Parts: sequence; C-alpha cells; structure tokens
Amino acid sequence: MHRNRTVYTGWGVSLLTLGLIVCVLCAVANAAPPKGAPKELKLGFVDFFSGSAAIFGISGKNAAEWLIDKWNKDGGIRGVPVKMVEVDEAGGPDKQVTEFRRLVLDAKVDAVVGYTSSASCLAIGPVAEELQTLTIVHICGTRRLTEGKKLHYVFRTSNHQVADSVMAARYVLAIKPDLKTVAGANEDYAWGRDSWDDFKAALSRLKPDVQFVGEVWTKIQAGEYSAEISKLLALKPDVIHSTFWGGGLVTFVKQASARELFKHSLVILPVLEQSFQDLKDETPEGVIAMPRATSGYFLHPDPQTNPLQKEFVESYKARFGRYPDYPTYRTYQAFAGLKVAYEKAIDQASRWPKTDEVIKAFEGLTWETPLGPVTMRTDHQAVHAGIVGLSKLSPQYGFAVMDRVMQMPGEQIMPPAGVESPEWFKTLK
Amino acid sequence: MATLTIIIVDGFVFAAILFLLSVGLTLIFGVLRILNISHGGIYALGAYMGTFLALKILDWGWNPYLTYVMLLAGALIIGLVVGPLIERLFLRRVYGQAEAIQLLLTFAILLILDDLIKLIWGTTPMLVSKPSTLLGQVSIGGIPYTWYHFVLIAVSIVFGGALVWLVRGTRFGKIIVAVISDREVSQAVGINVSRIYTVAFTLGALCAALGGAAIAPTIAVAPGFAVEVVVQSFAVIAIGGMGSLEGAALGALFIGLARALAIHLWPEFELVVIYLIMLIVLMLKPEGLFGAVEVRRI
Repeated sequence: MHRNRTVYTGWGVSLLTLGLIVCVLCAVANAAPPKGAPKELKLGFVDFFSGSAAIFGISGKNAAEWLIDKWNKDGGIRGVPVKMVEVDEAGGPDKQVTEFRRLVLDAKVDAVVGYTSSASCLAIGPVAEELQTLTIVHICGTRRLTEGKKLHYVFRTSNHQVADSVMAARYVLAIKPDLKTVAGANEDYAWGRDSWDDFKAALSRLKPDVQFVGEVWTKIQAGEYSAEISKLLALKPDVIHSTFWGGGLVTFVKQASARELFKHSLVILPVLEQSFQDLKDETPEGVIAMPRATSGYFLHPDPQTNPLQKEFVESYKARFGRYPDYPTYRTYQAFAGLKVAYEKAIDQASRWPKTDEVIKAFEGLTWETPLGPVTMRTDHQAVHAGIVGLSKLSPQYGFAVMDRVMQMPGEQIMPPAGVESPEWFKTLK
Repeated sequence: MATLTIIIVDGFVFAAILFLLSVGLTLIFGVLRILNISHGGIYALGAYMGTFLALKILDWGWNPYLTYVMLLAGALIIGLVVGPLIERLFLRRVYGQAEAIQLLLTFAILLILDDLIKLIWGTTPMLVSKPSTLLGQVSIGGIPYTWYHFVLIAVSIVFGGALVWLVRGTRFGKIIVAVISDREVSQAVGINVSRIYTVAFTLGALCAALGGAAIAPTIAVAPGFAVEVVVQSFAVIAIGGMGSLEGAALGALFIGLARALAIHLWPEFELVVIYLIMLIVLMLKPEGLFGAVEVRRI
C-alpha cells in the first residue's frame, strides 16, 4: 500500500510537472511573434510640426502616440513592438521627397504614414512606388492622388476632397433651397482650386440656375484678408464657399466676423471643425461647418453610447488637454487600418508577411474606428461616411460644436472606383 | 465709384500694415548697413507679447481699453530687451565682415526666435479680438470696416512722421546721419559709434515690435508667422530703396494699392502683383525708388 501510494504520487507529480511545462510552452509559443518577425516595426510619420499648419500635425502626432503606446502596452502588433519615426512636413514638396528617401533608405522604416498637404502627397506618390514602400496617406485631400491612377504601394485611408464639396453642396441646398448667388474664397493651389471646382460642379448639377458671382484667391495661409473680405462684402452673395484651414482660417474668421461677413452671407467652411477649439467663443454661429468629410467628431457618435469613442475622447483629452479633432481621427484611421491589415496578412501567411501580402490584405479591408467603420477599396482609396452641420456655441465646452448634424453615407459623396469625378458629377442627383 | 473707394481704402489699410512691417528693416539697413533678416522674428515676438498681455488683461477683467496699453507695453518690452541683446551679443562681432556672414547670422537668429516663440507659447494660434472690435465699425462705400483699420493707418502715418523728424530734425538724428556717412570721422570727432549702433538697432527692433503688436489684434498669431513676413518686408524695401524711410512708405503704398486693385478686378493676379512691381521697379531703377546709388569708397 505504501509502495503503491509512492508510485502513484511519483507518477502524479511527474505528469503534473509535464503538464505544467507543456502549458507554459504553449503560452510562450502563442505570445511569441510570428516566424520571421523583425525586432520592431518601424513606421515613419510625416506631418506639419512647424509653421502655421503645425496645429494639424500636433493633433496627428498625439493620435499616433496614443495609439502606438496602447498597442505597445499589449506587446505591439502580434508581439512586435511599434516604433515611430517623425518627420516634419514643412519645407515644401521637394524637401519631402528627400525626407521620404531618407526614411526609406537610411532610417529603413517598414512603412510611412502621413502627409496633410495636397502638394506633398502628389510629390510623394511616385517616389513611394519607385522605392516600393508601403505608404499610407492619412489626410491630404486632392483627388488626383488616387483618381485615374494605378497605385500599388500607396493607400489613402480617408475620403478625398470631392466628398467635402458634394456634402457642402447637398447641405447648403437643404438649409437654403432658394439660394441664388455664390462666391468663393480659396487658396490658390490644388486643394483650393479642386475643392472650388468640384463644389461648383456639384452645386450646378443639383441646382442649375445658381450663379457664381465672384471668387478670391489667396496664398496658402496668407494671414491678411481685409481686401478679400471687402470684395466679398461688396459682392453680397447668398452663399460663400471657403476651404481656408488652420491658422489662416482662424485669422480669416476673426477679420470677417469683425466686419459682419457672416451676417450678410451664409458661409460654408469645410475645415472649420478643426479650428473650433482655437476660435473658442469667437466662432460665428450658423456657419455650415464640417470636420471635412469625416464620419464624426468628438461628440458624434455620442461618447455616452459608444465605448470605443468614449475611451478615446476621454483618454485623449486627459493626456493632451484638447479634444480630438478631424486630423486626430484621420490619423487614428490610418494607423488602425495598417494594424488590421498587418494582422490579417500575418494570419493568412502564418508568419511575418512581406509588403505585397500586407497590400493584398489591405485591399477590400474594413476596420473599426471610434467614428465607425472604414472600408479600403481595391483602387487604394478608402470610403466612409461624412457629417456636416451648423456651428453653435456651447456654454459647456466654451467653444463651438455642431448643430443640426446630417450624416451622409460614403457612396453618396464619393465617386465609385474607376469613375472620374467630372463624369460622376454628371450623374449626381 | 463705390468700388474705387473700397479699393483705395483697402489699399491704404494694407499699405499701413506693410509700412509698419518694413520701416524697422529699412532703418537698420540705413544705419548699420546690415540686412537684418531676424527682423521678422522681432516683429512676431512683438505680436505674440502684445497678444499675450492683452489676453491677460481681459482674463483679469480689467478695462478693455487697457489692451491698447498692453499692446504698446508688449512692443516696448520686446524692443528694449531683444534689440540690445541681439546687437551686443551677435551683430557686434560681424560689422565689416562679408555680407554673407551677416546674412547667415541674422537668418540663424530668425530661426532661433521662431522656435523660441513655439517654446514659450506653444503651437496653438492665439487671438485677441477685443482691441480691433472695441472701437466699432464704420461703413465706407457701402461695406463695413472696423475703426481699428483707420487706427492702423493713423499709427503708421504718425510713426513714419516721428521717425523722419527723429532722423532729420533732432541732434540725435544728425549724429546718426554722421555715423552713416563716415564711421571713422565720426569716431575721430568723439562720437561713441558703438553706442550709436546699439541705439539704432534697438530703435529698429522697437519699430519691428511695435509693428507686430499693432497688427496683432487683426490676426491670429501662429508659429511660422515670423518667416512668412520676412519675404514681404524685403519686397517693400527693395522697391522703396533700402535705407530710405520715404521709400518704405511709397513702396508700401504702391503694393497696397496694386494688390487691392488686383483683388477686386483680377483676383488671380493678387499673388504675383507684389513681385511684379518689384521686378518693374528694379529693372528701371535697381537701387529702388528712393535708394541712393552706393559710391565705392576705396
């Protein structure tokens, strides 16, 4: 009896120990990075950290840091920690091409995320294809990046500027169906020109008898608009469309408010949401405002009913002292999409994927963000919903928020893959 | 007729802004023969300090008219502190050296000042509107202008006049002119030339800071502001003649009126008009409208 118990005990302990060892081995195997994984995933992030566009870049940088810190706390992407290399987008497209080459060839990043300025992303596109580097454009608006192009390495994870123009046209007609005259105030480069042309095309299609009575063109971030405002006041249009943004927009609103431009005309400002927290209580009310054609902002979807949004908004505000704005959300969209694409490619290949496998995983992918789902088309242009509303001061926040918000689905505001925008406008209704 | 009135008013408003921006630059060049690229940085510092102090006054709930005093105070602080500092610590070492070195030095100071602004005040734009809206509006040619626009025009005229009087009508002005004409002889006569240089540079810095503070209520001060204004101020003094106060005034007026005309009648031209004028003037009179042809001394 004694001998049996010793034997059973001996076998039992051995089996138990063996079982424990097997369990530990399994756990270690699951936590280990996939086969062939690098020590870390290096991602370049390019945005404006100096100059008047810096407020965009800082929002983007904060979003990227928030997300990457969260991932790295859980071990990174399937166990591979992520490291971010930041580059300042200021200095012009030529400088950006040089910096891109430096990121790929010297810093040896695995992918590049970024580019706010339409001028930069148009310059970078061909270089990314040449250097065969996965490049995720997060904000830049010009449709020329993805329209009519066969891209392999370049993706854009947010709607382009046609969506902004179409939403503006639809909403202004909903608010003021009997409008007759329209004027434009935009910056003289791809962003301003294309936005104005597409807005005119969309509006003319939806209301053929509308008259375009004048336009003013300024330098990028000009900063002095008194003469332009005088001309707009003299033209007395029903509606003014302006794609001014950032520091330039803040100055324009300030100078225009002082001369009651917003009382004389209904003004459409597709990039106004980004400036809400800078203008504070100086934002005029009743202005058509958008976070460009992004599917929400920090109050929509309502954080109280949406846990992903609630977590992001509260944690972001606590850490950075500002509520997330549209550059923040679009940066989140870009990085989140990249992570999901990597994970899908890892699952499909059962090891660390090559760039082409990540690209294939990204095409057709839908991923979740605090504002809702985003889908990447096979032509490397993402599509998602957009919101538009009227500015209204909020005593609770001390700055303006959006009132009478209308959400429009992606298919209604973005031309389908393979269709050029001018053709698509002809079919708008 | 109404359009013409509007164009003239807009032209004068922009001319006032340009004059306040460039008069400090042309003064320093006239006296020190240094093209002070850091001028943009001092201008931006004046704008930031003025905005910052004005916002503080409003935060404390004091009389909003005090914001004007704060704008002036901000400019004085910057001009009187930054001016002598730059001159004594840096510029003093490069007088008489190759122009390239002087340009590089002042350019480096500009970049440092731009980053210093970001370090102190961050990257978020700051705006104070009270000073520009406090005086109310006036309707000209059927459209509203703020009275502050006309205050700017008045300030630039008074300022320009004061500077001309200072240089032409006072003993101090005569001393400066003597130093400009011949540094060695002035020194031989007993004038403390290095002190004159410091005072002259500080005066130029004060002009720059005052210009920045005056315009601050109409804009949102944001990073990068310093570098952007440097190009415009150069165009103004290139047209007017470097070193000439009257030239700066006339250059500013030409550009202001041409730009206003372009905006109302040919909008796309607005962007090139300032440089088109510079091209034409420099082709016809390379030293600028009021510039003096430099005579070689040796």
